[in-house]
Order: sequence, then structure tokens, then C-alpha cells
Amino acid sequence: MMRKPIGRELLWVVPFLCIALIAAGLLRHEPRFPAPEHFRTVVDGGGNVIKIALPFRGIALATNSFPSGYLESTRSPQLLVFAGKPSDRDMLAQNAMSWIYPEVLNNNKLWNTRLFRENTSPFTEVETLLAYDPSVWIGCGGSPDLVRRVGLPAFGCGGSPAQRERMGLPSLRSKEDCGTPPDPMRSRYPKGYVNSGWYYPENYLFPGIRSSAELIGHPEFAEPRIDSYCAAIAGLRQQLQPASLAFRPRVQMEGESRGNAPRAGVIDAEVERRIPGDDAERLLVMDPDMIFMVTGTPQQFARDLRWQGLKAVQNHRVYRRPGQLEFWATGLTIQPVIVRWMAEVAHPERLQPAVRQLLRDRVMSEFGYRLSEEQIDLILHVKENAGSVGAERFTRGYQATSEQGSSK
Amino acid sequence: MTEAIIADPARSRPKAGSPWTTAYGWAIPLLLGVCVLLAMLVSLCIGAYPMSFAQAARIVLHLAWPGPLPENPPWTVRELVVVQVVRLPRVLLATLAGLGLGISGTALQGMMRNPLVGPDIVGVSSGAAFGGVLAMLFDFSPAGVIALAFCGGMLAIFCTFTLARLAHASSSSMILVLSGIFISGLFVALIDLVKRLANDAQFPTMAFWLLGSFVGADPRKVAMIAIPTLGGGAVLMMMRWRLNLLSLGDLDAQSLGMNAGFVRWTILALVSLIVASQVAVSGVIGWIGLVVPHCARMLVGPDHRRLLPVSGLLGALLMLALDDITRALIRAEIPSGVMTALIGTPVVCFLFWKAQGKGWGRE
Repeated sequence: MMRKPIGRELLWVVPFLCIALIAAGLLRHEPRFPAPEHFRTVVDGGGNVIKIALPFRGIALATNSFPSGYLESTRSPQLLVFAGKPSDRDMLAQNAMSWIYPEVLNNNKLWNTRLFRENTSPFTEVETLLAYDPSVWIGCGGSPDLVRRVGLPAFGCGGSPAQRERMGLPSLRSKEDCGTPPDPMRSRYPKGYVNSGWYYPENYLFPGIRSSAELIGHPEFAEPRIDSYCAAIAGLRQQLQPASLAFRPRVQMEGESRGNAPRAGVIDAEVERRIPGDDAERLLVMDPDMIFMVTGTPQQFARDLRWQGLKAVQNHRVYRRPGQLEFWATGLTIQPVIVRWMAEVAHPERLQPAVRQLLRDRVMSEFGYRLSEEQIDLILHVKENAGSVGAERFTRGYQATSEQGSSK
Repeated sequence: MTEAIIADPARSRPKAGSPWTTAYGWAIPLLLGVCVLLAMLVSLCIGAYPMSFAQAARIVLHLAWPGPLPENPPWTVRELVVVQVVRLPRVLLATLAGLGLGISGTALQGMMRNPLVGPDIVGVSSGAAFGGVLAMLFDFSPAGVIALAFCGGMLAIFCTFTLARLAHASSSSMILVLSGIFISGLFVALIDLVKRLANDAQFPTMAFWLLGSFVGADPRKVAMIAIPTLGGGAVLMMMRWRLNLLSLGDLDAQSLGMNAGFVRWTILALVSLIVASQVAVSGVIGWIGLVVPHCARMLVGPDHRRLLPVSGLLGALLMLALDDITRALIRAEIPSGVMTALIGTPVVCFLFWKAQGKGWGRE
């Protein structure tokens, strides 16, 4: 009779035990990086205290941290050691920041072309960032928490400025009401109404700019930029005098209602009608006087049989408005231009054509970069708006005549 | 008759494999165990941050060894973070998920005497997934997710058996599989209903979770799957002789003095627990529980004393390899549930073609 050792039947215990022991190893305290010997301290918008190691080894951008947003906020391409994944690079290539800072787009060292280049897991991303060894991370996605957990400096995007104020730190929100007229529609907003997908309110924008300036070690950079922004908004307000407008067109404006509509002297048709949901019928019920699109072209829109009965389509008042996400990220540069563009479309009788000049001036003052006429055409979607009423005032030739004080 | 032969170790042993397998089959689980441990270490070396095999092994050894870590360790904090915080939880999660699914699939196939059965075929996975999404809908804690996933898995398998019993064919393999497909369909519909009720924040989480992924592995998730899988798996391992008896059929098992009903429900409860814990931490991962037992059967034959551990270890190895492929070769986070189906199907087709039905077709 063959004898079977009992030990052979228990061999399965060995891998089980090994796996259990390794798993138990995770119960140990997580390792933490020691604080750097020499550092400077920065507090981000969310109140997180960040110790940035000195000498400074650079900034790395985590997932969803928009390289264009970083460049627009900090104007410091030289501080970057890691800018993101190939998809982030593709996004930057379509952004105005790639005209202004081509060295970032063209520097392969700043982009992850190694393994896991498209990986979006915060855990895997942290290991990518560890490989780049920066002095500070900027993270808007899921990784900042993990980075902080192991004691590394992660600078959060946005956050709650109130948290910072609770810590007794100076407020980042001053001047947030600059240039904002009382909104006549505000009391009529439905409860919980949010429609600000493409609009960066100042209480988000200004803390972001201020904390970014602190991050790069130049807090003094923030206020002149904010003042310039406020001056542009206030200048429009002075010229437009929105309080004295007898007529305000009702406009369907994707994601732009809360802040920019009253500044531009228009009414968000969506708010007025209080129609919730995204049904196609909603637009038919609203039947706005004008439509400001952020994607597609007015021609494509007008070709759709569903919309051909709309007042705006019949009167050729459908426009592709200047882009924010596609050309800019934070809104600090472009938002005054967008508001001016809307106001000029809605109230041409009150305003001299100045959008092209305003855009050129703002980019020059912000970045020292002179936009070409072709670039301005692209940003203002001159080609797409060619068939829309009043859009000729944004073309090159019209600007030349209007600057001399005459109209076409 | 075929079904009885399928899992009868006494009859099948001479045909279980080559003479080598008969003589040294006991060593296969040990070899596979070593392979799994080596694969775990190799997986720890794959990533954006450079890590040598020796360094990964050193860190893991120190982590697993009871007692404090050395005060002046031969690794940097950076390396320790990469292994302990970033890579090891994910590697463990994949290993444990594969282990649990392999054991569960084999136990179900043996108990039901049906090679078509797997946790996803009899409805356990769908039931557990329904419990999981329901818990997410009501914002339950992670422990709540695993508890509801377990209840869902148990409910699904209870429904499957009840339906088969209603057809007066609870011992018929085909009726059981059909019942499982019906119940699975019901729970898939319920999952869709819950997804429809979810808000904008919950829906993407649910959708990604249902696809099956090891993204976001952390020590808490590892604990959630390790305890049920290793604990439940150990109990199943100790019951593998009974599983051999059960695979003879209820009448034969009872005539040999075994309480077939009790053993059956114990096995079902353990399988539900293991699958529920896997679904709760990493979503629905199909195919492993169905394919791996077949591969293991080709290696060691149908004797559950060897088949069960080999299935578990093979499942762990396969899951780990798929996760590494997902992370390293494809360079993108394709959900593991998708990868198992994409790679598992051609692999099993090839194996079936090469094996000409060895392991199952014995008449």
C-alpha cells in the first residue's frame, strides 16, 4: 500500500501563508518623507500648508492640472520639470499658450513618454511623479491627497479659500466683485441653479492667481493682473451703462449665465424661462433672440431642421463665441474679451468695435506676446461667424475703419 | 454518467495526465505557489519608477517579517513608498482576486458537476454587483458595500437553486445553468435600474467599478478581500475531499455518510463570500472563474485535492499577468474585466483545441 505523506496535502498552505504575511505587511504605518532641511512655506487655496524644498528642483503637474492653466497662471515655463501625459500635450497644442510658450510644447523631457504614459490612476501617477523628483506637485485630480499622505508637497488647484481664512491667513478673495453690476435676474434663478461650465467666477479665479503667484515665489505678480482684469470689466461697464439699457436681448449662452450675462447687458433665456433639463425642446420653448455657441458652427446649427424655426436662426443671430477652454484655461486673460464680445454683439449701437484691440492688448500686457491677425481671427472665430448679423465688426478690415471713428 | 465520471478522482486518476503528473502532481501546487510569489515580486518591479528585483524582494521581505523595520534600511523612502503605498496593494489585490475566483469557479464546477458553471454564470457575480451598486446608491461605507455585495451574491445563488428546484430538476446541470442565466439577467436589469437612479456623481463611479479594475488599491481594500478570500479559501481547501464526494452526486455522497445539503450550502456561502469580496473591491471580473478551472484540470486532472489549490494559484498568476499587461504593455488603464474577456477567450479556445477536451471528455 502506497503511503501518502500528509505534508504534501498541506502544501497549499505555503502560498496562502506567504500572501497573508505580505498582506499583513500593509498594516504597518505608511512611510512618510521627512520634511526638507531647507524650505519655504506656501499655503494653497484649500489651506494646505506646503513646504517647498530648497534649492528649488521644479514643479510637476499631476493629472487634470492643465499645463495651459499653469502657464497662464504662473507665466513661468522655466520652473516646469514635468508637464503631463501625451494627451495633456495634445490639449496644450490647441491652446493659445502653445503660441506664447512653444518651448514647453516642444520639450520632450517635460512630457511623459515612458511606461504608463496614459495612466490616470492616482497611485501610478504618484510613482511617475516620484521618478521626476520635483520640489512641488500641482494636482487638481485625485493624486494630491495621496501625495500629501506620504508627506510630499502637493499644491491643490482651487479649493476653499474659506479654509485658508479660518487659519487666520490673508484672504485671497478681495476685489472679487470688481466690475460686477447687480444682476437683475439673480432673484429669479431657480434654487440650486448652476450653469457656469465655461465661466470662471472671480471668487475662483482670483484666489487661484494669487496662490499661484505665491507658489512661484512672486506674490507681487498677482495684484497688477487682477487690477488689469477688473479695469477691463469696469471699462466696459462704463461704456455700456447696462443699468440704462432699455432692451436686453434674451440669449441662449452655454455655460455663461451667472457672471457674464448681466455684464454684457443680455438676459440668459434659460434662467428667465426656468426650464430645467437638457431636452432639445427646451431651446424651442425658449426661442431666444440670440444664441452664443461654444462648440460647432452657426452654419451647422442652422442646417439642423429642428432649429430652423427659431427666431435667432431666422434672423441670423447665431454666433460662435470666443473660446475659453480651447484657447485659454483660467479666464484671466480672455474673460474680459468674451464679455466685451457679447456686449458688442448685443448692443452695437452703444459700443465702438474694440474687441480685437482689447484681445491684443491683454495678451501683450499679460505675456508680452503680440498676437498675429490670423491668431486673433482664430480666437474670435471670425470665419465661423461670417454669416451672422453684426459679426463683421470683429473682422480685420472693419477694425481699421472703426478705429478711425467711422462705420462700414 | 458522464457527470459522475467527470469528477470521480478514483476513475479518472489513471487518465488525469502524464506519468509525470501522476508521480509529481503533488509538487505542482508548490511550484505554482513559488511562481505566484515570484510573479508578485516581478510585478513590483514594473512601473515608471525604476526598481530592481532584489530591492523589491528586500522591501517585501522586511514588510512581511514580523517586527519593526530596520532603522537604517538599505532602501530610500522613495523606494519604500513606491512598493508599500503604490504597487504592493495593487499586486495583492490582483493576486487575491485571481486566487478567489479560481477557487470559487472550481468549487462551483465540482459541486454542480458542470464545466460550464462559473461565478458569473450562476449569477453570483451579478447578484454581488447588484448589492454593490445598491450600496453605492445609498452611499454605504466600504464595509456596507461588501456586506450588501455578499447578500446579493447569496440571494442570486439561492434564486438560481430555487428556480432549478421549481423545475423539479435541481440536480440537472443544464437546468442549473439556464436558471443561472435567467437570474443573472434579472440582476443585470436591476443593476441597470440602479444606474438609472444614480446621480451624476455616483454614475461614473458605478460604471467604472462594474467594468472591474484594480485602480485605487489601498491597504483597506486589500484587507477587505484578503480576509474572506484567504479565510474562505482555506475552509474550501479543507473541504476538498468532501467536494470530491459531492461531485459523485448527492445520493452517492449521502450513502458515504456525508450531509450533502449542508456541505453544498456551506460551499455556496463560502463561494458567495469570496466572490462578493472580490466584486466589492474590484468590480465584476468575468472569465477567470470559468476558464482557470479548465486550465488547472488539464494540468492536474479532476481530483479536487490538487485541482482546487492549482486553480487558485493559476487564477492568481493569470490575474497578475493580465494586470501587468494592462499596466505595462498596453500602457493604459483598461479595466481588468475587459482584459480577462479579451485575452481569456482566445486562450481558452487555444487550450481546448490543443487539449482535445482532455480533462472533461473521458468516455
